[in-house]
Amino acid sequence: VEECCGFGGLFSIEMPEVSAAMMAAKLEAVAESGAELVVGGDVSCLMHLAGGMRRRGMALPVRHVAEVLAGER
Amino acid sequence: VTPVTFRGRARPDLGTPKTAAVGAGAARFAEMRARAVDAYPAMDQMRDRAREIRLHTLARLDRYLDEMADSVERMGGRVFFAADAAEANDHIVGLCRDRDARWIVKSKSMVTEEIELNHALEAAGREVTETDLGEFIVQLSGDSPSHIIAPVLHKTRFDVAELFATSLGTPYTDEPSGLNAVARAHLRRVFLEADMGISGVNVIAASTGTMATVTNEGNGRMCTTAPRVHVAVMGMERVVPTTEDLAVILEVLARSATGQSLSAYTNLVTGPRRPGDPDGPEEFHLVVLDNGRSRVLGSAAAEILACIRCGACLNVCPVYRQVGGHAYGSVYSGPVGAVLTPGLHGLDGWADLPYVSTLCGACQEVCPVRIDIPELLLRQRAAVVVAGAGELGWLRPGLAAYTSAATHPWLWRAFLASGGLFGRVRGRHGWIESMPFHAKAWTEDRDFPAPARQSFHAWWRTNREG
Repeated sequence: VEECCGFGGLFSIEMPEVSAAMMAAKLEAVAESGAELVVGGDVSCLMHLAGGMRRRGMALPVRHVAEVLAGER
Repeated sequence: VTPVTFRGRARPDLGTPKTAAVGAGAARFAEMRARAVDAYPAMDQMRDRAREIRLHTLARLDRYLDEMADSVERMGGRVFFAADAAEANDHIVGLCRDRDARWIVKSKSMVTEEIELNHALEAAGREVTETDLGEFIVQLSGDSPSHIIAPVLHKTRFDVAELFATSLGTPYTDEPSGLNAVARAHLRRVFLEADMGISGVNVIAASTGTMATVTNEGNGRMCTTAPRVHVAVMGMERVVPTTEDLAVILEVLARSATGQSLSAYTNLVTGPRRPGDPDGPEEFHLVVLDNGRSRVLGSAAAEILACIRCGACLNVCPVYRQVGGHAYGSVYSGPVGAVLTPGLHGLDGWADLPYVSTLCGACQEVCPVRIDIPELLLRQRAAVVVAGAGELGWLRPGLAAYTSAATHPWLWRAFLASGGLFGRVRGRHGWIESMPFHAKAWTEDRDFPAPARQSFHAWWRTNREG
């Protein structure tokens, strides 16, 4: 699903329920995809998704694209 | 009294079958649009052309409205310019009285929803029947539209089956074709007996006074031809210079809205019935509505008036998909509504709408006239801050505190140190599971990474400089 994860800066604090619903949709798509690693280009989005995954007991690693390019695991 | 906010309206519907229906419906529309655009190589060029036409017209709107009014009158129609909803409604109620129109049929029109025309007509003792299937369902259930082109996107066919069985007394069916047949049978009689038809206007050419209505049910055509009086209501920005320009708008409208190259019924009306015409109304009246549009035209968000109301921005908006149209509190929902509503009705009571977006940009990618909606949302936010409108609450002091921390290194270091300390006290395996005050909104649904024990500056001093 090519769709915003719901972070949106202060949006995540100002509209927390809507932000969380968007995150849930994103994480369900992640789970369905069978991915083993979540890569993104924005640290805030990744912080939001990683925090959401930890709360839901999803154990996927999360990396910034720069970390992947630098060959870190 | 706490004002009802977007957040307050959105919360009860989140995660319900109602918003699930919206999300699925919007995704379906978005998919159909994507397929239609892929199949039409000229789409990008047409979008550029449509944008040029709309911006050109808006920059000379007074001139084109004058030309349009002259053309409509030349073809035997009458034009009324209404400054606001009350003037428009009074004029249309007056037309009903003068012509003894008791029964009125309507085709789908967002602008008549905007001015709440049905209430005004009913208060004047007139009977109004909505003939678009979606609007008919809205009217029967006393609901309001939740999408610009699909008013009952928030209802399932089982909701409609229930509604028809109870309010029309027809045998229960939840088959879409069966439901369609029920509505068709009910509405056919209505068209033939109504005294007045009221329609919206998708787009109108100034040079000829030719207006287009775009429908998929044929009800629009019935409303504009069967009754003896046709009243068309338009927002004053619906005009384009010529019929060629009108054709360009049609090229991008249905593709963006429903993924069709043209809608099933694209209805062109130029004035009332002429001598020798086999059908058509005896009278044609055009009501041109301002209702805040002049103010928008003079504002930093003027570009939103280029909108052709296809609904594509709603369909791709990840916020709209979660909350549905009703959360926006106005007939215009989604990204376009978040810009337009505070523009039309003022910031008072609508100041939170420009903030109900993550600025992801999906709306701009699909807009047939390439309106930079994220930029307009930012401009509306700026207007909110400048006007001191809305409930910014902690935001202003919060950002002031951040600004002074970010501009005073010692304060920044203290801020980082306190973060590190907080992480050490509250953290568990590197994560914080609950935070106080406003940050609580974050940890309601997600954990927060505990700040590093050591700041980067401190790490650098120890490992690189030493």
